[in-house]
Amino acid sequence: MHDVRGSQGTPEDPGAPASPGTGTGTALAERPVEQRPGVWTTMVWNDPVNLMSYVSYVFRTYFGYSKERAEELMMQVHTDGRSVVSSGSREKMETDVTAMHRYGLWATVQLED
Amino acid sequence: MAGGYRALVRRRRDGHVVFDLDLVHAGVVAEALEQTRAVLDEGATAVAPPGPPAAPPITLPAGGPGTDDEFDAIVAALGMGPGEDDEAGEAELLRDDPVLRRLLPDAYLDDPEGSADFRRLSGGAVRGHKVEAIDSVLADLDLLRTQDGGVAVAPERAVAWLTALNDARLALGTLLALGEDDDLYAELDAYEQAVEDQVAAGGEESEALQGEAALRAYRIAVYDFLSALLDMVVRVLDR
Repeated sequence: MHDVRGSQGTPEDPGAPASPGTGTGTALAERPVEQRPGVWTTMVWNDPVNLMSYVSYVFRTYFGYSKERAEELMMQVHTDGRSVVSSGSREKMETDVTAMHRYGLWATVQLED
Repeated sequence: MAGGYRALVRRRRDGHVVFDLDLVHAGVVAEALEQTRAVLDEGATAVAPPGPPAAPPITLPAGGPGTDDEFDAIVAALGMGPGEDDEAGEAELLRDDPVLRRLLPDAYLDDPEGSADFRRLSGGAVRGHKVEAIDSVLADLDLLRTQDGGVAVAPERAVAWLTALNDARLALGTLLALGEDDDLYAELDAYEQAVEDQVAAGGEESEALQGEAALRAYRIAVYDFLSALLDMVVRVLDR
């Protein structure tokens, strides 16, 4: 995982042993502290190319939203120019944005307003 | 021309998706996919208007012929520099190539560093996934062209058609500089009418209707077909 920029936390001691029981992974607690509080979101932006039927299909298939919810989010993208389609940890949002990019949707990660 | 396509995609009773394109349409789709793949592969705008690419000048160093410097200069000019330049090269390509930038967009707004980090970690996977999907569809199209009655594709495999067709549309839409309110049908109709008028008047096609204008009209027609086809795939997979 890439480290969290903008962090003002104490830099990790490169000589410190890995936390017990985590193998080669980096434990959550060891990561630089994210100073800016808040929830991260995945935002999907309108573009003139993506089909409404396709966008709605992607929302249902990937996020498991109901047909109604997926249509609602798709229409929000279409009319408002953007829509928050998921929220949570930064890592999770980067996973979601990666998936959206695979589908060809224009999506970004940001802190919730 | 809009909406005039017969159903080219259907679901078989066993769940397989049957793509039944004629040879011309199969060829059009394959070409669009290959061009998109070329952009993903090399980061070059392979779908750019035809014409000689602007080759970087090969300048020989002062050290005289036969030196290592000369070899390095030629290699560098050919864009085959050492690996450590790849990252900077990729950043430059992304900046210069709107198609590639649309296929592999920034993950953060107003945060180039965050986007670069993200692209380093996830960009390869996104690109790999897109190339894989395109190759899968190209293989289906190859099979389709050798047999009657279309090609039957397992549902898991049919999903590749979604992303592949959409990526080809993204590439074409970017090249067409498509805006939200653009009426491509009206534009294409006007172009076709102008060609017809000219032929009816007994004249040859004027320059205004060739070159860029003809290429744009062709791209609009392909874009329209890919859009119709993608919509059919979505509707079939959705059931």
